[in-house]
Amino acid sequence: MFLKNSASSIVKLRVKKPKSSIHLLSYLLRNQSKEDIYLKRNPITITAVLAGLVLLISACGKDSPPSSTSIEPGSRLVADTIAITDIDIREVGGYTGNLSNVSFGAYDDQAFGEIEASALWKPIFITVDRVDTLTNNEQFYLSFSISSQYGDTAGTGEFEIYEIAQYWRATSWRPDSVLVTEQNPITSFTISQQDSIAVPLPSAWSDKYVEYYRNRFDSTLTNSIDTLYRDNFHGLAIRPANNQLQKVVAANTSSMKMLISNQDTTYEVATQKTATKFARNAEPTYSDEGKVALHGTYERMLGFDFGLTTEDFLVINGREIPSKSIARFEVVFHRDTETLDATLPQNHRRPGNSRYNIFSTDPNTLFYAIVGSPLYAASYDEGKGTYRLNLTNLANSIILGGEQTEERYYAVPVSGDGIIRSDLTYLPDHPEKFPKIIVTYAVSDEN
Amino acid sequence: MLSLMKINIKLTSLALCVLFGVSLLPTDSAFAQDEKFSYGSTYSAFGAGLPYDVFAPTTAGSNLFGLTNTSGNSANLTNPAVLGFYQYTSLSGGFSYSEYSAEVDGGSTSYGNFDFKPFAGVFPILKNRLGFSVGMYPKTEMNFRNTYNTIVPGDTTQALNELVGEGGISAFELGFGYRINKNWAIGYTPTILMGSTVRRSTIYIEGSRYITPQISNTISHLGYSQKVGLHFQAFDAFKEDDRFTFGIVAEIPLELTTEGFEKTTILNNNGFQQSDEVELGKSNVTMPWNVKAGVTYHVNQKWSVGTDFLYEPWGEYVSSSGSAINQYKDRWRIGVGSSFYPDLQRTRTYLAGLAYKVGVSYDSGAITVAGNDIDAISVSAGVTLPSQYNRSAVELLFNYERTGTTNNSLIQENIFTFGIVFNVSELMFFRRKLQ
Repeated sequence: MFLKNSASSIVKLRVKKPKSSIHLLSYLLRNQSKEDIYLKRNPITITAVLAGLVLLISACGKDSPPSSTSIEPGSRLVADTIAITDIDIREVGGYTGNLSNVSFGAYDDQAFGEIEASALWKPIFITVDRVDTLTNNEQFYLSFSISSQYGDTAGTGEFEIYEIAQYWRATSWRPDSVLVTEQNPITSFTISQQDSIAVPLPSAWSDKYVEYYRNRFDSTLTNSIDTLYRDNFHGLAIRPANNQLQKVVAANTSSMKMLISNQDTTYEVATQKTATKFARNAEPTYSDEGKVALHGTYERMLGFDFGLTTEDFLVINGREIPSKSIARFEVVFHRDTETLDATLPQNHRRPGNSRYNIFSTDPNTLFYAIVGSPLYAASYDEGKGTYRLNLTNLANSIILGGEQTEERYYAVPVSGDGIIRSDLTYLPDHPEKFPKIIVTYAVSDEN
Repeated sequence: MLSLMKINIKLTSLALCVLFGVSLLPTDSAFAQDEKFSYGSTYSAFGAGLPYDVFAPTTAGSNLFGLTNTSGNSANLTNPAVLGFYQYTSLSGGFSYSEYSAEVDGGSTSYGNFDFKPFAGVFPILKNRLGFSVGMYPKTEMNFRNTYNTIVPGDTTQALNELVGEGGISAFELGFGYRINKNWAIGYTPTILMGSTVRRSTIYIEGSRYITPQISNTISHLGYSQKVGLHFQAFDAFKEDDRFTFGIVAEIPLELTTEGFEKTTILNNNGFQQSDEVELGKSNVTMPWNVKAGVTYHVNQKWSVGTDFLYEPWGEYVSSSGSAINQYKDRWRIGVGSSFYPDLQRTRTYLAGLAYKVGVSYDSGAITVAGNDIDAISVSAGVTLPSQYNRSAVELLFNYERTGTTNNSLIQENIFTFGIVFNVSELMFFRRKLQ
C-alpha cells in the first residue's frame, strides 16, 4: 500500500509540473514567491531525488584507495631454509620390460661408469589372414625410431642382432635377468645420427617365423600354434658389437615393428613384448665428495624425509615455523653441473634429465611402489642448477588439515621410460648445496 | 486538508522505514561497508580505527556538535542534558556518501564510501522536563585498504601485500535528561560499547609457484562508558530577545574486554582453500575519556552563532596487546558555525521557511604517522527542509574535509560528503492527546 501510494504521488508530480529532478529544482528557483502545493506536501521528494542520486553515484565503479608505504602492512613474508638431514641411499633396481623404450649399446661414461645394454624384442604372431600369402620372396625388417642416443652421438655405433634362445617374460624382466641367445648374430647394423632405422632380417630367421604362420591351421599339431609360438619362438636381442663403447641407443617401442615387404606391398607386424638388460661397471664413487649418482633405472634412489609434524605450528626437523600460512614449501636438490660438464667429451651427450620423480611410500614396499606413477615431480631449474619440488599443498594439508603421513619420499631421475639416464646430486655434507627445504610463509604483525 | 495529512503520513512512513532499517542492521557490521567498492580513510588503519564524532542533526551543517541545541525538532545525542527540553518524540537517522580524492606522491585516486548516519530516538517522559534517549552510532570506524609492493625473500618474485580493515566499536546508549529550571539542565547516559575490528592481510604472489596466504585478525570488544552533561541557558543575556547557551559533556569510558582470534586462510589458483583459527585470548582495551564544551549565542530567534571544543587524549589508548598504539595521540577539535532561519514561523513561501547552516572546524587529529600529525580542516553547510504540517524535517548536509599530507609517502585526503538525515518529530500522536 505504501509503495503504491508513493508511486502515485510521484506520477502526479511528473504529470502536473516538473518532468525531472532538474526541472523540479529549476521550477523551485523560478517560483519562490508562489505557494507550491507539491513542495508543501512533499518536501521529502527533493530529498528522495537527491538520495537517489547519491545511491546512483555510490554504486558507480570507483578506484581503490591509494597506497602508502608509511602505513605498516599487517603481515610479511619470511623465507626459512632448513637442511634435509634424514637421507638414505636405496639401491632397488626396477622392472625394465615393456617400457616405452628399449636401450641397447655400450658407453663408457666417466661420471657414471661403463654401461652395456641389450634390447629384447619379439613380434606378435599373425593370427588372421592379413597377409594373404607368404612366399619365400618377402624381405623382413626390424624397424624402429630412435628416441635418444647416449654417448658419441656424432660417431657410428655398431650393433648385432641375436636370436634369443630361451623363453623370457617381459612383465618380470629386470636389468640383471639372464639373457640367453644363440652364439652367433644373425645380422648387424650401424647407427650414426639418424632418427629411425629398418634393419633387414635374414631369411634364416624369418623363415622360422613364416613357418609358424603357415602351420596355423595344421590340425596334426600336438599343441596350439599360439602355444608353440609362445614357447618356442623367442624373438631377437640387439647387443653392442664386441668392444664397441660408442653409444647406447634408446628405441621407441611403440614404433618397433616387423616389416614384411614384397614387390607389391609392405605388411607391418606389431611388437608383442620388449625388455632391456643392462649392466653398469666401474662406476665412480662420490661419497667422499658429498655427492651421489642417482639413476632413472632405479639402480640408485635418494630416500628422504622432512620430519614434518604439527603441534600448534608446523615443525620441520624439530624447527618450528611460526605461522600456519605457508605460501610455499619447496624441496631443493642441487645438481653437480661442474662434474657432469667436465666428464662429458665434446660431441658426446647424456639423455637429459628434466626432473626427479618423487615416490612416496612405506620403505618396505618401495620396490612395488616404483612400478606405479610418481606422486610428485621435482622440476629442474636450468638457471639455478637445482631440482625444485613444490609440496606447498602437502604442507598445508598437514598443518591445516591435520593430515599426517608415515611414508618416506624417494627421488629418482626421470624413470619408467626405459631410457638410461643418471644425475649427480649433492648430499647433506656439502656446506652450501645440501638438500634443503625453503619454506616461505606469512607472519602476522598484528599481535 | 485530509489528503494533505495522508501525504504527510506517507512521507513520515518513508522516513521511519529508513530509520528503523538502520536500527535493524547487525551490531558489529552496522557501520561496516562492502570492501569491494566502499572504503573510508586510510588513516583508520590504526588501533580500533578513527574516532567518530556524533553531531546533532540540526547542527551538523554548522560543524557544531550540538551540545547546546534544545530545539527539540531532532533527536540529539550529544548532550544528555538537552533531553529535558523535548515535547515530542523525535527520531532521526540517515545516510551519507563520501567521495574521497586521495593524493599521494606521484598520483591521485578517487573512491567512495557509503555510510549510515547514527540512529537516535528521544522520548519525552515529562514534556519539557524529563526525557530519555536511545541511540546507536559508531564510536570508532575502521574501513580502509592499503597495498604494498614487495619481493619474496630470497627470490625475485614480486608480491602485492594487501591490508584491508573494517568494523569498529559501536555505541548503544540510553540517556536521561532533566531540566532543573528555566536555566539549568543535567543529563546522564550509560553506554554499551561493542563491536569488532577485522584486519585482513592478503599477500598475492606472482606466478603459480606460490599460493596466496591470508591472515585475518579479529578483535571483538565489549564494555561500557558513561556520559554526564550539563546545559545552561540565559534569556535576554545581552539584549532583549537574545539567548546564551552553554553545554558541556564528559565521557568516561572504562576498560573494554576484548577477545581475539587469528584466522589463516590459504588460496591457490585451483580454488584450493583451507583455513584455521587460533584464539588469541582475552584482553583489555582502555578507551580514552573525552570532554566537549560549547556555547551558542542566539542573536535573535532567526540567527545564532556558536563554537564548541573537544579534547580527547587518544594517547592514553591501550590496545589489546597491553601497549599503547604509537600512532594515537591526544586530539582536540574546535568548530565555529552559524545557523539562520529566515522565516521561523513559516508564514511566507516554502523556500523562505528553509533553514541554512554553515560552519568550519579544525581537528588536530588522533593520529600521527611518520612524524606527521593527521589533522583536518572541515567546511560544512546544511539546509533544513521542514515539513509544513509538523515538526519533522529533512537535513541536507554538505561537508568538505581536508586531512593528511603527502609528506613521507602519506596520503592527503579531500573528502566531499553529502548526507541526508531524516528527523521525525510529533510521531507519537497519542502524546499530543495525552498532554
